[in-house]
Amino acid sequence: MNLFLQLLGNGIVQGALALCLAASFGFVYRSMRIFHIAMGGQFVFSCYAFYFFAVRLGWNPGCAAAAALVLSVLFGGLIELAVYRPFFRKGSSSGVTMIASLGVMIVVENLTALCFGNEVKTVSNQLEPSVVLGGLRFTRIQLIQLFGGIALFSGVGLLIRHVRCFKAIWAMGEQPELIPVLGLPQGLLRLTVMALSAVMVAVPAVLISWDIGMDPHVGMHYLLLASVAVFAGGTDRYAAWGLGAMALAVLQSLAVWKFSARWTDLVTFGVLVAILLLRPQGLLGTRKRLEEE
Amino acid sequence: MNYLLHICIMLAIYGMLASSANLLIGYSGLLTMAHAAFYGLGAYVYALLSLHFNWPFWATLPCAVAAGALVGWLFGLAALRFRNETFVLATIGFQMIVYVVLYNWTGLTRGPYGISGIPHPAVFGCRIETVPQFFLFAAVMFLIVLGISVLLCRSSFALSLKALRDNEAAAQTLGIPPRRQYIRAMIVGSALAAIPGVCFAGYVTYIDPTSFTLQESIFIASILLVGGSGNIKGPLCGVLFMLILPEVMRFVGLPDAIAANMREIIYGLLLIVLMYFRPRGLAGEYAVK
Repeated sequence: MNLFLQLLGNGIVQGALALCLAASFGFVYRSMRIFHIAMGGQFVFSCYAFYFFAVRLGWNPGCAAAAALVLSVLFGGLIELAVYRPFFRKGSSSGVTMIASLGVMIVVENLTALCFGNEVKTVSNQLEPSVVLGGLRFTRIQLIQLFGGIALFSGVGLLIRHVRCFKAIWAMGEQPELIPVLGLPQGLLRLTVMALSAVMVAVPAVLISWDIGMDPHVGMHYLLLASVAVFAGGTDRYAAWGLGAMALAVLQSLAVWKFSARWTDLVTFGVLVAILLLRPQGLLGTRKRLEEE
Repeated sequence: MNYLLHICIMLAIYGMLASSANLLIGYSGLLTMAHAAFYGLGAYVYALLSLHFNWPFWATLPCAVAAGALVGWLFGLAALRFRNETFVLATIGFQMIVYVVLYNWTGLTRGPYGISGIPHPAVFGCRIETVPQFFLFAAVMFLIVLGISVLLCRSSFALSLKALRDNEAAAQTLGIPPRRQYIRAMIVGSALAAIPGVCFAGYVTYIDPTSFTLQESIFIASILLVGGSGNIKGPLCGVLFMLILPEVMRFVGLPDAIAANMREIIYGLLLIVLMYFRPRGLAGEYAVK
């Protein structure tokens, strides 16, 4: 029973980070209608930016994380301006943009491997101090992940509800053609989406790399987790992304309890297939008429 | 000489893979990221039947093709309810499930240790063991798969797939049933993908799950995106480009550790540039939607 509770606790910690990753993918998918594969590249970029400042330059982790965050936002803007914007202006189909996004991820992964090597890198080699909460043991970094992830996801959720610019970003996903008609700056809104997405991917990237290290090919795993969470929850509701992410992370953790850590990916994609088959609109999604799709 | 023949064998194997994927990506407009799963299925069926039951090549080949067709049909029933990104995600999910099963079902597949000592195929009593013999064998298999692809591409079946790909609603009004035709395409494409799997397992005599990963599926899709799809020459052009490029880079003098990453960077940049300037690929007819 103790093991079950501990794994459930670990699953919730992972879920807190998955919330942010799902939001990062979901924003770009919903607001810009891009299957944002380059998010995997952004994840890797953020990890290694943090590693560079914290280990190579010897900055303290807080400053290194802040610098990685800033660089990640700039990198998100660069992807929009150099790749997504030209395709958008050209009126390219979503499939074409998705493949370009895949190209971005391949380039980033391999450039990172060229610069830092293919082997696993760690930021901290010291044993993390731990605390016991209600009989469950968590390390300091796990607590930062838990509260940081939930606070960021909830904070952005509040912004979407109450701040005009973020409301516009959300509305852009419904009817993008209305944005210029209403006099809203479409280019700036797209940049804001990419910046927001970059923040939402950089925070978990930094916290995960601080905890367990990184390698240049880790991005695909987190991209898949985020995309499955968004589709499993329902693509059109922010809370649904959170539900999908938390459910997936907890199920993955419980798979370790019931089976073994080797089968966690099977759980992720088993859940995806089951939801696509039984409830294609996602757990909290609403069914659309054909002409709405 | 053996080096050149080895490259030709790999060209033949990837030529078969690209031709089979062309039916899905090029003719049906279904961007699949699960082709390596069917490729791996063929390889594992051949390895297990020939190693544990001593089945001859000509008995294992139809079994591998049938396994590919059956799994393709089952997968198609589920995945073909979706289009566009959702379909892509479903294919990624299927690819990952197959990989995890191959990797973790150690009782059957020996998991990460792989299966070694797979017998070389024997045709008409002659065991194909040397590289030149295998070159001839792979060339014949490639021509058979290419022949099937050419026949399919000239059939009314391919025309109906093209009609669905270009405008599904309009094609339906002409009486073309999308689901049935797409599932047929999935069955044929998956069955054909199992054939290069059999050839690969028989050639290298050792397989493990790392040859059939999501990255491999992305590579197969990239062959069609770079070379082009929707006709016969596009996939072949893609195979030539994507497989010859790393060999050319060997002679540039780049260290092996850098060459692999450089090759991937070139592929990635090429995907971006081609999608912008020429979404049909180098010699294709169909631009991804």
